[in-house]
Amino acid sequence: MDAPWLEKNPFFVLELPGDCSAMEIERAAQKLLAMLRVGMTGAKTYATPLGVRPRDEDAVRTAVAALRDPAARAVAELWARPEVWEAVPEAEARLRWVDAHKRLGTLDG
Amino acid sequence: MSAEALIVKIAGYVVVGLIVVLVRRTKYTHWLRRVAAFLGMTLVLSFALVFAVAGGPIAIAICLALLLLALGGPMATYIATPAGLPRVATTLATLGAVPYHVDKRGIGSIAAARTCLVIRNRRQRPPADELARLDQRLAGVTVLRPGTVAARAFACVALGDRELARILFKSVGDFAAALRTGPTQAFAARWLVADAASQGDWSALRALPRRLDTPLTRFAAACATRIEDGPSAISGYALTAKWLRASPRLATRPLLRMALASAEPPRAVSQGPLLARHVAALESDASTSTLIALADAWNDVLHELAPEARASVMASLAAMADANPAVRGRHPLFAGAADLMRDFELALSSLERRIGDGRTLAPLDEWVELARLRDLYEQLTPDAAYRRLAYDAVRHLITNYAADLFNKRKQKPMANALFMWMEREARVAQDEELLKLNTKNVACGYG
Repeated sequence: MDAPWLEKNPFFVLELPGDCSAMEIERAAQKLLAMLRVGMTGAKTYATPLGVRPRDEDAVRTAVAALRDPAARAVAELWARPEVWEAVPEAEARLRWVDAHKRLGTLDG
Repeated sequence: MSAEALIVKIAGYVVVGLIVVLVRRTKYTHWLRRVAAFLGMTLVLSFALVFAVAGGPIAIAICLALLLLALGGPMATYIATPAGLPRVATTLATLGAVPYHVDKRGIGSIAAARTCLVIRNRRQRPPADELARLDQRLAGVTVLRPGTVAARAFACVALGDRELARILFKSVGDFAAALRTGPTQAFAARWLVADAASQGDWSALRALPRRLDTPLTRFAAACATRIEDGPSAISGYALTAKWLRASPRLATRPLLRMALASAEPPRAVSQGPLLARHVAALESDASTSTLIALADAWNDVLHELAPEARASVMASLAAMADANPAVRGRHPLFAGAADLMRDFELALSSLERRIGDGRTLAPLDEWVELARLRDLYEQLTPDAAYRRLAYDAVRHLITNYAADLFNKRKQKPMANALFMWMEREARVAQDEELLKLNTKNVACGYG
């Protein structure tokens, strides 16, 4: 599933809960930027409901900027709520008739 | 052999040939036509063989000609096409189509297009020369029939344009049943069933008989229903009965087994975290009531957001719905229908402008434009409101345009297909005036 609102959610990027204060956001950003500058491995990735994603200084700055906009923050808060995204199912392996083209002699595939 | 005996035998050939042609032109049900055609063909072959053994060189030549007429189609399908010989395949298929009476050129073109596919499979790239020759052949069509459309669809597959191939194969079913003879309908149905089933697109398979109604598509749709909704949706006996009616039976046995082995689906959509339910709804062909319940749950969460933030979340949800046309458009939350409507209006206004300017296209290009428009229309029809809007937009334009195609350009099969479309839609919309007009137009025929 392609879901930037989950993968690039500022709260996931900054590893903060949705109800954090502006001060906490600034502190978390400064800490992450400092860690990235010295190349600490733990700072280079972050967890999302869709799996681990890479993190760089740009992603951190974009996240902080997004959270300064009240409307964008409200949207990000919504997507960061556990009751919204928790237990996103992995797309189940779809049942397919794999050799259908061969069997039906369509000469395709 | 005396001259009288030869004349008598030739007369015998002519009589048997006439029987075959008459049998092919009857309006009996599908299976009766097939039984009668089989008996006629057996007569021709036995007569030809006995005559060839007893007669001289003329008898052998006539026998060979009859063999080509009787077995040209299978020879093209099983010998010339796999051998990658487009011209031989075209000639054999065209000769073999003579007893079918209609669309000989189209059936020949299908053989050529399928041979292009064989060559593409071997070379791992589209065969440019063969496809260019096929294009020339297709462009030279004076009256468009479904065989030419199916040939173009196969050419699209060879070129990798599967989306257009899908649209064109579906549009084969829009023509009158009597024009979709022999391999045209069979190849279109097989490709569409294989395309949807190989991707696990069961929703598309379920909708297929609405456009191309054949025993195979009906069986495949029943399998898809059972796979998605479980054994309670359709019994094993009913499914097997459909399978028995759908050729090719041996080839479709794996699909039957897959459907018979399906279990009741879990009711995952009704409970659980919102996004998980949303994704589950998109992954399945969720019912409209499930979508409405899901939308209500979203509204409970979204009501605390400011309007612009809510719009942003709604846009994200709508973007997710793009992946599933079956869900799209059935509720504002899955707002793809608005985009579809916009695409439909664009396609319609482009057609309107062209008709207004008096610009005409080659018959096949004309059909491609109409098939795209109809495909968008059919995607809108699950939503009653959009269907009504779309119908109001096309009702007069398409009816008048089809009348022009029929009267001025003599594209009667194409016009008949459009009349049948408008007749069906007028019936759904309870538009008595247009229903009466289009019923009369459909009765004008296609030949």
